[in-house]
Parts: sequence; structure tokens; C-alpha cells
Amino acid sequence: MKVSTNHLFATLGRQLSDQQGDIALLQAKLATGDRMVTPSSEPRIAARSLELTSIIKKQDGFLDNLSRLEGRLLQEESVVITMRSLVTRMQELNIRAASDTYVGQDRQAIAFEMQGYRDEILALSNSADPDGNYLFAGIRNSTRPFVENPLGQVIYKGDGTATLIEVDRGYTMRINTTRDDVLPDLARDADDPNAPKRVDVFAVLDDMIAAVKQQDSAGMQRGLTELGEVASGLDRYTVDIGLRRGLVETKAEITTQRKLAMTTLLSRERDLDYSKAVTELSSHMLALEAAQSTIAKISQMTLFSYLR
Amino acid sequence: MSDMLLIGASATQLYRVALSTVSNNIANINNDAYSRQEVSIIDNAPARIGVLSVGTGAMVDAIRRNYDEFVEGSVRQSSSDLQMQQPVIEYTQRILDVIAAEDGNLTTAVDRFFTSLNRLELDPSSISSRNELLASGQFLSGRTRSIGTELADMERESALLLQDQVGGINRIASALLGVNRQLDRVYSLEKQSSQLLDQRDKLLRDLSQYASITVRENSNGSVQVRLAGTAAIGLLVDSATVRTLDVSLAKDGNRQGFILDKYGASSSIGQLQGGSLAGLVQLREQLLAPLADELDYFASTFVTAINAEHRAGLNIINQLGQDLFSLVPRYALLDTGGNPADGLQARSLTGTPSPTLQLTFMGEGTWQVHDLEDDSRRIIAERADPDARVLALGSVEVAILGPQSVGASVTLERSSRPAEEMIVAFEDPRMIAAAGRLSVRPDPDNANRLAIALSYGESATTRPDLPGISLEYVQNRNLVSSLPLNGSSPVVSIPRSMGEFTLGFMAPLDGGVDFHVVSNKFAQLASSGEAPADWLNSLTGSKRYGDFRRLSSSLNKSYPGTDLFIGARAQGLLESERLPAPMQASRFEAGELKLNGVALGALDLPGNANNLPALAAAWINTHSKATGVSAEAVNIIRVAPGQLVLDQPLLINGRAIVAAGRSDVLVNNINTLSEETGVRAYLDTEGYLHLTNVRGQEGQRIVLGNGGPGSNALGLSDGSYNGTLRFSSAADASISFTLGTGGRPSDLSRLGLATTLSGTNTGDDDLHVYLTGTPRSIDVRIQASALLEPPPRKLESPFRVEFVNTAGELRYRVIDSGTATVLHESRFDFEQGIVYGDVRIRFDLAPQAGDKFNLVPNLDALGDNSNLRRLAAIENQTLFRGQNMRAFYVNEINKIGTASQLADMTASADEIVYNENLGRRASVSGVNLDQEAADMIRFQQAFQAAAQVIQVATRLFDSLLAVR
Repeated sequence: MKVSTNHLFATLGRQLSDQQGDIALLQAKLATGDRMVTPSSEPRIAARSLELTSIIKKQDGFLDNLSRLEGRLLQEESVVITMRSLVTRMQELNIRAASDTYVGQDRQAIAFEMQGYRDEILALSNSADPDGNYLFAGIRNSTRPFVENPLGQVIYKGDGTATLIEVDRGYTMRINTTRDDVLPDLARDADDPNAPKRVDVFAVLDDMIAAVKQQDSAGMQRGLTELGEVASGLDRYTVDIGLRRGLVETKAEITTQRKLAMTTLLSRERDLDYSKAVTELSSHMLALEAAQSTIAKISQMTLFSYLR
Repeated sequence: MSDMLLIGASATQLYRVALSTVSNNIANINNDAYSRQEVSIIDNAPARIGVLSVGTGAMVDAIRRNYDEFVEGSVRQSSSDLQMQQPVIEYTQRILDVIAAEDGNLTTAVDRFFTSLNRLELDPSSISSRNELLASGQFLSGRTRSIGTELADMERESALLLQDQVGGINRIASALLGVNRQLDRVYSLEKQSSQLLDQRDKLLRDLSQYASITVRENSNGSVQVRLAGTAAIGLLVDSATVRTLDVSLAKDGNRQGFILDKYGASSSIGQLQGGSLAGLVQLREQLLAPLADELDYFASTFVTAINAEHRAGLNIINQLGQDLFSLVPRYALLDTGGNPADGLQARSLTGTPSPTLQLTFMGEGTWQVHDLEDDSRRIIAERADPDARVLALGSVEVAILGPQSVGASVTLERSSRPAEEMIVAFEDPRMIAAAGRLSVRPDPDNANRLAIALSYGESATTRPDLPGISLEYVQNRNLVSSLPLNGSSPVVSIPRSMGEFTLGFMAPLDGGVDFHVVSNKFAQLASSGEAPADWLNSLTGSKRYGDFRRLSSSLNKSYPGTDLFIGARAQGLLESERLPAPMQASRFEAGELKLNGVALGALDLPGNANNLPALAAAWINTHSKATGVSAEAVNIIRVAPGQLVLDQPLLINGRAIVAAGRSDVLVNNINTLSEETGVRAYLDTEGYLHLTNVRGQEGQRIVLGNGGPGSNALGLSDGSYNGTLRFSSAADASISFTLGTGGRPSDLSRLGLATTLSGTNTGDDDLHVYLTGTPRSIDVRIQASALLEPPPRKLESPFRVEFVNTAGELRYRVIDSGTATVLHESRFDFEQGIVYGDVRIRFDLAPQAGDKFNLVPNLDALGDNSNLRRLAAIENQTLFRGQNMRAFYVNEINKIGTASQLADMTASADEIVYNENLGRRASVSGVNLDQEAADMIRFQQAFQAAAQVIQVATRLFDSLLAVR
């Protein structure tokens, strides 16, 4: 078949520019190490990597939540443990005060010391996190939760509602704490056995201190029992914190693993296979050189060259 | 020998021409439009010498173009195919780089928004986290807007390109017409100029880049061109005519239609089959417009979902959540009658976008507003602003800048490109509603500690789509309508924000007709009497209201936002209709009726008495001291001057009166007989004739007649005219009849009074009115003022839910804590929980009878993130055509990516075919230098040989001349 000279050169030119285009793209990939130079060059990878990036970011969010939760739990744990040791100290004092070896003056001194611990517990129950949010106020965490009224009674101004945060897809954990969790009310046998009275922890402490002051041994006895309940309440909550911390750690581990898996997938999609790309580049360059030299040769090959 | 010389001479001529053809070929080697030319040689006619036939040399037969019609057609077709893919490739790549850009894509923006939301969940009161959320919201809305705008730009740009290419087609078609006309001057293709034919083929090739064409070549080389696939109607150009192609773009940019010869014998062309124009259409219809639509859907769905949750929450300053995102719609005014749009200007405000409205000027500063979406109409007045008169239409204001003529009308249309309109609605971080709206406080004495979950957004408060008259469409009108009784649908609906309204009917004496007013939140608010049991069952059976709670026949005035009245009332003066006079004796039981709150005592009335008004008035007056209302019986018959028929006879209470053609004579004659008839007459200043009772007989029945056929002199129908009651109170004090124990609307009818239901409805609930009773229907007079501005949304007042055990069934009551009004009562369904208003309350275990739950506004709950969690849940909700928002968006990217790759692959294949065809064309029509060099040598040698022939001939001739 006849090949027209014009067509021959047009074809050669097109082939040259195709090769050069391929080389430029490969060069850009090699320079960035990314298989996707622009989304339009690799639409499938573009869509897939958006999905994967999104999942990875989500895992980062979960990890962030988990670490915040862990910090919060650590803080609560230290407060509760301190409270617990104060309660233990009060239990010891109570036992001493109940002992017949002590006289009125000693008991006044004990009551005074107890009062100090009670105030300390009150102060601890109003602990706040670094942002100034109260730990044991439920959702009203900007309001000081345990407030003494003019009569010296402690009123709970907080709220009983739990706040949850998502720590994994569809899995939530509590982030706030209410009075009922840490210092729940106790049932106290009242005169009317059908209507047991509910008393709060501070009333328990106050009543006990009053009993010590007034040398009321029945009161002191009751105080000891109730103090035991307060202590076991705190212990329960300490265990609860421990369990939740364990959960947080497990979740964090799982989330980190998942993030790693997703990151691997993303890199498989996006990262350039250098050896393959370099080989490809060399082959393209070889082809380009061949095309160039062919053009040079062909262009000299014309019958007119032989006409003298 | 001369023959030989001639042969040589013609041969040199021939080869000179052949050599010029070769030179011409070489000269045009880089001319794409050029087809190689070749000299065609024929031998001259032989000379006969005796029996011999001797050749006489050769000559140029023609200079032929190397051309193959079939190959040329293939080149055109493959060029159309290839070009069709180009716009798709180019634009899909641009789209992908916009929608899938690493940092600018919406998935990243959505991720960022929800990450900020999650961070705020940890510390809902943190102002810096709130600001971060707002910034992420702005980033998201900004990206959405800019992608929306870029798509809109591409849409506009491609429209321009489309029009530009249509222009290109028209230019080429005109040029082809010119070529055709020149070709037509020659009858045979053989004789045509090669240059003209090359020009023709070049034009056809150019044309096929824009659109696929069908070419029919005439015998002289002129062509007839049609747009492919359009049969006869698609003729673009032939030897005589060229038809202009036009494109019309639909308003939404979705559909485009091609029209040939729009202003002549026009023909619409469905689809073009190839070429860049078809590619552009495909791009616009199948990729660009759907993508823009999906992006709009994405934006509006997202905004709606987020706002619905956000509005259910409570912000840091204890206010109900506002919209977090808003769409700022743009409006266009289009003239529909007259041309008022010039003098009008639409301004958008925030709020619910306005539907399409038709505004018609009614004169005197009033406009009729016709909602074209729900076909409702209302009249509104202009408001005078400092710079212009303004028509306030919710989220849009129309400024009226010039005078308008009555009847002129415009349509106010909203552009609906949510993706280009999305913004964050506020800048104050405190406005983010992080907390739940309500807080549940279980009663400490409840049997168990239950976990309670609240959710919002139930649709119970939305207006149910029930038939019946809605008062908002009756505004400012006095409508009398015959309404059916005992139906399961309301006869009248009283929407929220309804101003003053009155419904009134005159109940028949023998069959009770009753009003029942029911709120959307399922409580029966008011009834004028006991509802029939079977009707009630049919209503509750329809489940429309859950359990229909009967509140006896008393009014429940403390139901929030309602102010209902059933009875008859007026200020200062109340006039009754003519009292009925039943044949039987009747009795008002004590307490059936109340006047100004005072129960009226018993009254016995004789049957068919002619002095019932006087008896009733006396009865009312015995209570005057307590009620402050006095009653008098009157009977006045008033006749307009034009109504009198003075040549007719008249009987009053059986006595004949002569009119004698004059009204004053008639009055005189009536008064002459007053003693006997008990009726006197007078004319007032306007000429009206009044008949009334003589003193001492006030309120007595007056019987009119004429003693024969035809009308009486008063122009009134013959019959008994009973008296009326006129109730008055001192100093314009209220006169108010209400129904007491056992009282029914028919009791008011006995006093000539219509029973009305009136009031306002400013609550957050629609009310529905039902009628029950014996008749099938009754005329009800309906009056209503305009809808009030809806009150600003406010936190509900505290309410409580109480559980009771009724006949072994666990039921719950919703009680307004402030007034102790029972708002709702129903059987408790554990699965469904409790729905009250838009709130749903669910329990983890079934409550027990006696349990109480207080629901109060969740004030100062700065640590509450429950509403944020509801907002965050939208991230994974499959609200977007069954997918979550991320999957939805990635799917859109995939759609475009697939289209792009497909176009790319198709184009690669098309390109191979096209190049092959170009090669085939080149092999036929192209110039090859080697071939030309060879030809040149060939022709040069032939030329030289022919020259030798001449030389030899000359020598031979010389030889002959030298012979002596």
C-alpha cells in the first residue's frame, strides 16, 4: 500500500508526542511517589482513596475520643482513690471514737479531724477537669455540683443524665459521671419501717460527726455501718473505672490495628511501585529514542536524494 | 514524415503537462485537503494508410484526482465517532479534578465537619470546639458552593460551546452551498475542477467533526447533506438551499433540542448521532446535569437532616436550636400579565424558602398571593418602607418601586440550586444546640429506675392531610356552607396561628346538632354535647387520634394556646332571630343554659303561644340582678320602600287594610285599626315601613296575609311573624349564653340564638371541628380573620407523664404541669413508647401504674451532648438514596470516573479506526515523494525521448530535402 509522505510524517509525529506524554506522566508519578497524579488520571483510585482516607480519619477521631476518655478516667480514679483513703481514715477514727477509752475531749478532737476529712471529700467531689468542667455533675458540668446551704447541708446541683461518646462505630461509652455513680444515697432505717429514708453521703458524714461530738454511741455505730456502705460504693466505682479503662485500652488497640490495616490498603492503592515505574520509564524512553532515530533515517530516505 | 513530427510534438506537450502535474503534486505535499492528481493518457486517432492503421501518438485525456468516495465516507464517519468522545473526555476529567480533588472534595469536608462534631461531643461547652465546628461547617458549605458553582460554570461554558459549534455547522453549510452552486455550473464530474472538489471534501470532513452526516453525491459532484439518522427532515444543505441549525436549551439545562430552519419550515431533530456536538449533548444530559442535580440533592438532604436535628436541641443560652445551615434561595420575577416585573425587585431573606407564587395587584395596596404549589390564595397588603412599598412573603420580600396597574401579575420563582446556596446560618458559637431539649426527671417514688430515651422529630404536630375546610382559606370572608354531619373527617380545620374565627349554626329544635373540637395532639377540647357512641368508635377506630379522650361537654380552656367559646355572645346588645313556636308545650330545665355564668332557672312554655318572646324576656329578667342582662320582647317587620306592592290587599292579624296605592295611606290605615290588630306602623326617614306591636303587646306574633292569591301589599310572604328577643347590658358589658348541664345547641335555638364556636388558636397545634347530630347536613356560617404571624418557637412548658391502670390496661396520661390539664391519654404500647408532639419517649422496661415522669426544659445542661450525638448519627444514616453521604458522594465520583474511562477507551478504539481510514485515504489520495520522483524521471525520460523523435523527424525531413 502506498504511504503518502504527509501521512508518514503525521503518524511519526503523533507517535512521538504519545511517547512524550507517557514519559511526562511517569516522570510526575516518580517525582511524587504517587500513582495518582490527578484524580482524572486514576478515577478509580481517587474514589477508593477518598473512602479509605475517610475511614482512617474516623479511626483517628475514635482514638482521640478514647484517649480523652482514658484521661478522664485516670483523673476520676485518682479522685475516687483519695476519697476512699479519706473514708478509711474516718472509719478508723470512728472506731477509735467509739472505744470507751476515749473521753469527751478526745472525741471532740476526733470529730474535728473528721470534719476536716469530710470537707476534703466535699472538695474532691467538686473536682473539675482541666477545662473547668466538674467531674461529678452529670450534664450540668458548668455548675458546681455539691453546694453547702446555710444550714451546712450539701445539695446536689448536678444532673443524673449520662453523656455518651462514640468510641467505635455504633459503640458508645459514658464520659460523664453523676453523684449516683460515685456517692449514691444510702437507705437508712427510719422510725417507720415501711418508709426507709434515703440519705445522701454528706448527711451520713455529718450525722456521724454529730454523733461523735455528742458521744452518741448508737449514732457512731450507725455511722460506722453507713461509712462501710460509702466505702463499698467508692470501691465499686473504682472497679468500674478499672473495667472501663481496660475496655478503653482494648478498643484503642483494635482501632489502631484497623487504622493500620486501612493505611496499608491505602498505600497499596496509592503508592507507586518504583521498580515497575522505572522499568516502564526506561522502556518508554527507549521507544522514544527509537522513534526519533527512525524519523531521522526515514527523512533522509527519498529518491530525490539520488537525483543528480 | 510530418506524422512523426506531430507525434513527437504532441508527446512533448503531453509529458510537459504530466511533469507539471507531478510538480503540482510535490508542491501540495503538505496540503491536507489536496488529492493527488494524475495525468490520464490516451492515444490519438490512428491514421489510415491504405489497409494499414498507423498510430499518431498520444495526448492528455484528463488530469484525474485520486479519490475514493467510499474511503472518504469512512474517514468522515470515523472522525464523527472519534470527535463524539472528545467533550466527554475533556469535561469528565475536569469534573473529576473538581469533585475528587485531594483537599477540595466533599468527602474530606464532610469528614472534617463530623470530626469537629465528635470533638465537640467530648466537651460540649467548649467555645473553641464550637468555633471549630462552625468553621468546618463553613468549609463544607463553601466547598459545596464552589463545586456547585464550578459545575454551573461548566454547564454554561458547554452551552456556549454547543452554540458555538452549531454556529460552526452553519458556517460550513453555507460554504458548502457556495461550492455546490459552483459545481452545478458543470454537468459532469469528469469536468469538475479538482480544486473545487477538494474544497468540497474538506468542508464535509470538517462538518463531520461536529456531527455525523449522510452525504449523497450528485452526478456532477455537488452534494446533498443530511444530519445522520434524521431521514428527510434533517436536510442541512443541497444545491439550492441551506437550512440553519438552532439549538434550544431547556431552562434547567437538562434537555436540548435541535431545530432546523427555526423561522421557516422548521423541523425538530431528536438526537444527533455523532460528532462533538452529540458528545456535548451527551455530556450535558447524561453527566453534567445529573451530577449537578445529585449535588443539589446532596446539599438539600444534608441541610434538611442536620437542621431537623439541630432545631430539636437546646443551645448554650437555653434557646431552641435554629437552623444550622440555610439555603439562601434566589428569586426571579416573571411577568404573567401586564409587565409589572420591571417595577418589582425580589430580595431573599433567611427562612423556609417560598414556594412559587403568583402575585396579582388588586389595587389599593393589596395583592392576591396565589401559591401555585398548593393552590391556596390569600390577600395581603403592602407595607410602607422608607425606600419602597414592600410585600412581605415569608422568606422573600418584594419591593414595589413603581406604580402598578390593577390585574398586573408576576410569578415569583425560586431558583433551586441548593448546592450553590448553602451557608452556615449563624456565626455565634453559642447558638450550636448541643443539648437535648427536654430532660426527664423520674419521680423518686417510681417502682423502678428506668433508663429513658428521648427522641425528637416525630411528625404528630404536622398538619394531617384531612379533607374539610381550612380556615386559612376562608380569611376575611363570611362563608355559609352546608356541612355534613357524623363524618370521620373534620368539617373545618383551624390551623395554628389562626386569629379570630367564628362558626355558627342554628340547631333544629327536634334534633340535636353538636360541635366537637379535637386537637392534633389527640385530645377532645370542647363539645357542645355528648358525642354519639358509634361515631366516636368510628373515629377512634380509624386510629387517626389514637384514643379519643372525652373531656365531657365542658370547655378545656387551659389547653395551651386555645381560647374557645361555645354558645352565643355579644357586647352590650344581642338580638335574636325570630323565635320558633313549637306546637307542644316545652320546658327549660334549671341550669340548662347559663347567662354570663349564671345558671338560669326552669321555665315552662305553652305550646304554640303567640307571646313566647314576652315569656322568655320575663324569665331572663328575673335573673337580671345576677347576670347584668335585661331582655325585652320585640317584633319589628321592616319593609324597604321598593318592596311595597301598594295595589295589593293586606291582612294583618286577620283584619283587611287598604293601601290605596300610597304608603302614607297604608300607614294611616294600619294605625287606624291598631286597637284591633295590636299592630302599628310608621315610616322612617329613609322611607322604610316598620310594623311593630302596640305598647303592652311587645313581641306578639304578627300574622300577615292578603286574603287571596298573589303577594300582599308589603311584598312579604303570607304567614306568622314571631317576635324576637333583644338582650342588653349596661355599659357594653358582655352578654354570653353558654350551655349548662344538659344544655344543647337546640336550647339556644329556642331563644332564637345560633350556637357559635369562636376563639383563636395561638397554640402549636391544629384543631379540627366535627359535627354530629340527626340531620344529614346543616348550614354553618364561617367567619375567620387572617392567619397570625406564627409565634416564635419556644420551649414547651413542663409536662409530666403518668401511668394508670384502667380495667387491667396500662394507660398513660400527658399532663400539663402548670395547669394540670390532661393533654392526652392513651393505652401504653411498650414498642412504640410515648409520642407527644414531636417527642418520643422510650423506656428500657415497662413502667408500672403510678409511675410518673416529669419532662422539663433541659436548661443549663452545658455538658449534655445528646443533640450533638443525634447530629453525628446523620453521618452514617442512609438518607442519601439509600446510602450514607460518603458512599453517595463516592458513587457520584465513580459514575463520572466510569464515564471518563469508558469515553477514553472508546476514543482509543475510534482513533485506531480513524487513523487507519486516514492511512487508506492517504494511500489513495496522498502524495508520496518517491512516487513523484519516479514519475518525474519517467515523464522526463519520455519527454526526452519524444524530443528525440522530433529531432529524428527533422533529420529525416532534412535528409529528404537533401535528395537531389
